[in-house]
Amino acid sequence: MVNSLRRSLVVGLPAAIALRPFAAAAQAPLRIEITEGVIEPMPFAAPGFVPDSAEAADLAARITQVVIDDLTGTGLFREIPSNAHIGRITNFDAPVQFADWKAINAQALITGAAGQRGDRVSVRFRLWDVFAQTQLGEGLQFEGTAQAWRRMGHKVADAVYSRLTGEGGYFDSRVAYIAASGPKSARRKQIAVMDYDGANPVMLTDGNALVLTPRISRSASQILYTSYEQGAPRVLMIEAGGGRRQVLDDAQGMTFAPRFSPDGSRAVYSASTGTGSDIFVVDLASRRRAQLTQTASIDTAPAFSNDGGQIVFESDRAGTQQLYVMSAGGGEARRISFGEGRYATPVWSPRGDMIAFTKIVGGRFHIGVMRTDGSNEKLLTASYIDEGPTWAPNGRVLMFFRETPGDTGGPQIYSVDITGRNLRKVPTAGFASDPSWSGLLG
Amino acid sequence: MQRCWNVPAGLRDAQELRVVLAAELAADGAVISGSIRLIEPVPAPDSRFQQAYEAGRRALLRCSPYSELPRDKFAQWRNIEVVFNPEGMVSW
Repeated sequence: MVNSLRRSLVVGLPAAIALRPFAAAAQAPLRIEITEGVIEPMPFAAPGFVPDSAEAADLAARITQVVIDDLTGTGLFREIPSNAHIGRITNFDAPVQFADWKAINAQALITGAAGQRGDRVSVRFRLWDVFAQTQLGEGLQFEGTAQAWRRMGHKVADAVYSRLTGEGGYFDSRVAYIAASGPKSARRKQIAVMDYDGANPVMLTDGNALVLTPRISRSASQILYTSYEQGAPRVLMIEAGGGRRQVLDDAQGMTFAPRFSPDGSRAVYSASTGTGSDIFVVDLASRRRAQLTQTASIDTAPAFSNDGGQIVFESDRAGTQQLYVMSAGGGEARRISFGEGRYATPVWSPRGDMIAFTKIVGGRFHIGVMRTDGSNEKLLTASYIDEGPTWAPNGRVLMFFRETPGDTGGPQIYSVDITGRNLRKVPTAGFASDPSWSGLLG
Repeated sequence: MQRCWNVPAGLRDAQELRVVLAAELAADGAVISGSIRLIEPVPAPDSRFQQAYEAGRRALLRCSPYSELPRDKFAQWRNIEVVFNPEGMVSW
């Protein structure tokens, strides 16, 4: 009886009734299969967080806006603006009038409160399923310094995103990058670090020497980069808060393309050796160094797997630039890219399921993703130059940089999700390239 | 009901998240909110199925009441099981 209705037809309830043959077993539940729906951003309302005091009113409004911007920026949620709201939240602990939010078709409702005492700010919030008239998850409270007020908003948005998508969040994070200024012929480049959304940028170098490829540690505390300040390229390490810089490896002549291991205890990089370059690893505490590849080819752009056990890198050992994976202890490498064109700058997803890369084919640049065995390759972007992907902490979103041609052209940082949707420019004051995304700050 | 089902496309491997919800309807065609429950897969293999369940629950409730249902056949549609199958809808 039930099975007679289990066909792959798309049916609404009344249609299912019509299709149903004879009601012999009246108690058997009617089974309906829905195979089509809509894919659209989920509408949510985030009425202004309630300030604990009159002084906190501005803070509460600003934090609310960060939460809204984070969620809408994912492309997965759509804010119902406050001028469309019927209900108002003036007391964080008063019962929610769901009918007011149902009427404007808000599917999720975020209520919150914010307070400030001296240098400390606190924010608490609850997430509601409007149609089920129920709270989703526990309410949470975050505290921090007044200076870090944006982080409070990011933490709320991370918790909401996580509860609604089942994935970890990525908003409370930092991105190292190259800030570029001046004409194309004499570009001034500085190592910089900013919040994931472009806020709070800080310059870490003065721009007097050419710098390349900053790579931030997962904890966002340190940055590795390549500097030409002594003439030849050298990998340096700098504290993300500024200050002390150190050379990673004094023994080699030219070193470049560094990256941290996921736990921040080791770094991989390339060093030029004779005709080509090889891959090295260094333990950051002991400074013990090991050479991982030994070929006449150019082996470079190494990156650790999410568990630190493997390394993906690019090599031209088979004639063209392709991607290879080897154990983090070295040894035999297996080629994983076999498509047309050249592959560069591979990065392993923090979730371990994919590798993102730059692909150059037919004179165009692409950002792509593949499974870690090289299968299921998918190109997400295409342009004159798209380069240097970096993963969001949750492995759902990538940043990269896109360069525009011509004398006035230059690089800008973009983000895109791993389905290829939601391409967005990350706001920076000037040209910006080489993004490197930290983990969640926690 | 498909117009009310916002497929949770942001979820990892969303096309795999087939869920079956059971619900009871009142005689006016309204879904009784508290009656909605996940019946497949049980137990949910991971947290994504919770989000898929919640998306299905929202779909049932947003399109409620189903006032076009024939009253004289209430016994037939009083208890429903709805399969939300996103297999053909989302690519990873």
